[in-house]
Amino acid sequence: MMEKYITEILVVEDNPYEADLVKRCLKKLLPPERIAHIEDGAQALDFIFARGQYAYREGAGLPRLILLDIKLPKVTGLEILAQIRANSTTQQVPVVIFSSSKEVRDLTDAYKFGANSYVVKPIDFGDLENVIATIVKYWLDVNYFQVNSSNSPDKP
Amino acid sequence: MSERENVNDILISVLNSVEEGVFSVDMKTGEQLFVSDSCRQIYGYTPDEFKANPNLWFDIVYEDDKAYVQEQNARMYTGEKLEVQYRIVRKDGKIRWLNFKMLPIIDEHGQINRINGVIADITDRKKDEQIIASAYKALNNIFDTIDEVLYSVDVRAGRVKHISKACEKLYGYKAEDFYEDVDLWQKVILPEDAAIVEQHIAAVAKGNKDIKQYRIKTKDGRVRWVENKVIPTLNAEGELILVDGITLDITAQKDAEEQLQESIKDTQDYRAALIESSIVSITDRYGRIKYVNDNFCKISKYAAHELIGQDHRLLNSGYHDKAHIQNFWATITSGKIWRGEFCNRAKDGKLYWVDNTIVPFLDADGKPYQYVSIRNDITDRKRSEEQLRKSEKQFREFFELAPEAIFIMDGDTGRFNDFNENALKLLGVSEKELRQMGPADFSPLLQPDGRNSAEKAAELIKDTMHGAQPIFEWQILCAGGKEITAEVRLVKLYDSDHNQLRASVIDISEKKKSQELIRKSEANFRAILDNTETAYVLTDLDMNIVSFNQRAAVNVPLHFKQEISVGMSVYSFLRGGRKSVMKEYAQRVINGENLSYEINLKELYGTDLWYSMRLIGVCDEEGKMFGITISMTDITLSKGISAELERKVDERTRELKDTIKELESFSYTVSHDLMAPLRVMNGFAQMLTEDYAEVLDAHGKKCIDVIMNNSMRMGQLINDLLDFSRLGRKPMVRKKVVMNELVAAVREEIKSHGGPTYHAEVVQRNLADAVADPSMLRQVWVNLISNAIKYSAKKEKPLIEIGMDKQDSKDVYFIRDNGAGFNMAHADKLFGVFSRLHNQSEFNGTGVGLALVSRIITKHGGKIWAEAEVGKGATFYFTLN
Repeated sequence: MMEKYITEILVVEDNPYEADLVKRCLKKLLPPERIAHIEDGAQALDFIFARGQYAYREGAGLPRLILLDIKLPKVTGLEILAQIRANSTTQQVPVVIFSSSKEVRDLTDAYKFGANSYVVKPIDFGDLENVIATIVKYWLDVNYFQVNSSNSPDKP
Repeated sequence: MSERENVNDILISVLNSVEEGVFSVDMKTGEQLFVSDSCRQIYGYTPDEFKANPNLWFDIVYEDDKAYVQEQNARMYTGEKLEVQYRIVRKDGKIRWLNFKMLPIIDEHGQINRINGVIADITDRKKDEQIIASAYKALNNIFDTIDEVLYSVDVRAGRVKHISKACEKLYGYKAEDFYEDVDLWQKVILPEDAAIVEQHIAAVAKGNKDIKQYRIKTKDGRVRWVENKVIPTLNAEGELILVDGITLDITAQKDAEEQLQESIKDTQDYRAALIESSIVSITDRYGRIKYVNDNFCKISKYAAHELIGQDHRLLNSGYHDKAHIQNFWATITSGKIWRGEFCNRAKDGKLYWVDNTIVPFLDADGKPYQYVSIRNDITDRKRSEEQLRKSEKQFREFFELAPEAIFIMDGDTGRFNDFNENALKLLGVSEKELRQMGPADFSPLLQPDGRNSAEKAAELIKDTMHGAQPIFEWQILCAGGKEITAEVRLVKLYDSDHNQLRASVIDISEKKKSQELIRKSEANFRAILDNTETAYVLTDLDMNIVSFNQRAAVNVPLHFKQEISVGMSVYSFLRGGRKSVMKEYAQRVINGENLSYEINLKELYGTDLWYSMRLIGVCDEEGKMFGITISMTDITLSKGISAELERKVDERTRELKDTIKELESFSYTVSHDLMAPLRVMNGFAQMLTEDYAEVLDAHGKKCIDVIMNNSMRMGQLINDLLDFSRLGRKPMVRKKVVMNELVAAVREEIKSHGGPTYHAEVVQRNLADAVADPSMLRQVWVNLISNAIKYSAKKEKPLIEIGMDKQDSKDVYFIRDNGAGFNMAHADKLFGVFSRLHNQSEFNGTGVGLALVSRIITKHGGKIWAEAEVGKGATFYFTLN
């Protein structure tokens, strides 16, 4: 039985090693229980909308930030983004696209579907740490976001 | 015997003794109550025989009269008193005319009781009557055969007694018409002549014989003149009782009279006209003027009284010589008419010309007793004749000055009466020689048409003398044997007394030669036109075919299923919508457009038949359009080739698009999937140094550094490569670029990222603006300036110059540094991807930067090149189309 933590950051990343790197950086910034990692798109939606295997999260509230990779198996990052934006409860959740791609097409698509930010993952781990620190500082400390935990997301 | 019986007997004996037969018949029984003895005498039958056969009286009626007798007999029953006459055949066979008087006796009931009748033999009287009747008839016949209408009117009874049949011919009315209407003769008289007829009637009423002429209108509407002669008869009281008369048709006589009147009037008119229009004078036998008309006075300026009694010599102009005057006097004194022209002098001294006709009037002895002179003013004519003479003089001058050779030829003899200097020059003969020559003498035996020159010349001369004005070409054989072609015009000369004609001759040999050349070149052209693969059709502005070449003659029937011929309309080859489209095209060509388009006759053939069409207006020398050329080239083949080509291009394009797509997905994959492992490698190596720092020795740490550096470098390479490939796919947007500003901005940016390596002095000269893709051009400057800084960083005083030159009117931008430079021997490798002239340890780099720059410049249609010297620096030049 999984515990129902208040998730502050949801990382959606299919490459476990990459996810380890990102999580390592994040763990230097906030407690591990506030960080959730999901490996594929379908599960990510279930997590966000508290359904399927994540139905227990009913009432656990929405993450304060979603770090979303674009290239995901099953449901792509852009599809997840679209569903988040389509739901009146989840539509305000900040979504930062965290991708290796520098393709213009990916960039424009991401903003078109309502991404709050598009960040290219640096190769160098030091750079990666810096970037993640900046993101977290900005979205969790600087950016104002009202979490309403009593409000569960509408199930789509 | 009673008294009554006695009386009866007496009566019977009386009745029997009279010559007439007496009879009485009971109409109820048909019984013959009494038949006198005389009846026997008349009939030759006894009374007993009549009694025995009650029908005997009818049986013996003359066959022709039986019908009449039956008809008359029937009348007896009406109670009418009858008198009939008919013939019977006596017992002895003799035919007798009998007169019957019959009296029906009617009883108290109104019934016819008896018929009493008296029979008389009137055979002898009938004979006399017949004689009279035939005499009368003969007389009537005589009356009727004469043209005059004879008539007799009983005035008191108001009745026409008789009118002869000629009335029908004269009046158109029959005698019966006159019998019916006694006033008819008066009714047909023309109203204009009513007064004459009234006088006529009045005269006759007084008993006078009278003759009058007047006009009548016949029944069929013709007007005739008649003469009516009337003889009245009065009774003792002086009362008119009878009118006898004759009416004659005198129309012919009247017409003749009228004509005579008219001709007399005409003569008078002529005389008036003559005096009005001509100059008339009458002189006596001595030449003294007896009469002049107004015209005479007008032209001579003398008053009539000044002339009358004077000699005609008063008007003598002195122009004419004595012989002329003597000739004239000799003519008229001998009684002959003289005609001629005279120049007279008017009172004011001016001369005038008259055309004079003098007619001698001869007395009984044939001697002239007076002369009537009729003249017409011909001064104007004389003046124009004078002018003509002057113009003839001018003509003579023209004759000599004219550029052509002119011959005046006698139409009868064919000899030359006159010619100009050019004629002699043309033929190369002397005047004397030419006078002896005719046209055939300087012509070859035959003309080019194969005809004999002499014959042909004679014919042309003859035609000209009959009014033709031929223009023709003539071969002339000049003195010395040179043959030339001349254009000859023949004109008959009307202003001369002789049958003359003028020949104007121009040497057209040269013209002929050039015409021949033109003809040849036209033939060549025609040959080309006929051998071309393009069908040409020339039409007039209404698209009616004027001419076409051989190809059109072949292709049109082949492709339009219709023969082509001159005069046909182009529209007749077209159907439906094509017709109106062609009409619109024709109008556009007329409006000055040249059209070219392609059509496919697939609808006619089912397979593709492509024609390239051109419609062009054709103009004359003055630029006025007179026709349209339509050229049609069968381009089905080339169309097929180009279709094939297009198909291939499509195929290649599709392949290329697929390739690009593949490339896109490839670079997408590269950017995504190759980066992740690198990042992981780098990250995990970092984790090693962080988590196992105390375990790792210096060498271990170095190895991890190598892993980390190389993963980073690989990431850099991939990024650059992606940039490069992305450039190829990126569409170019050309805009005006302010080059000075762009370069300044790039320098600022590099400086801000440059850190400690950026210590070069950069000189920026004025740069011309360009039209280019701003972001790409920015990339160019970023790379070039970065390179310049990078490669000059090791110099003590790095100096970078950015500027511009003009080469062949093109802007050439350059950037010069005083850095490491390179060996020009390797300059060809400078712009290749991943090719580097320095190793990594010397200068950091991936070898993509200049490849990228080169690709951008090439994409702009420009050129990039470099000049360098090892250790002294390098200069990169580029142009943008």
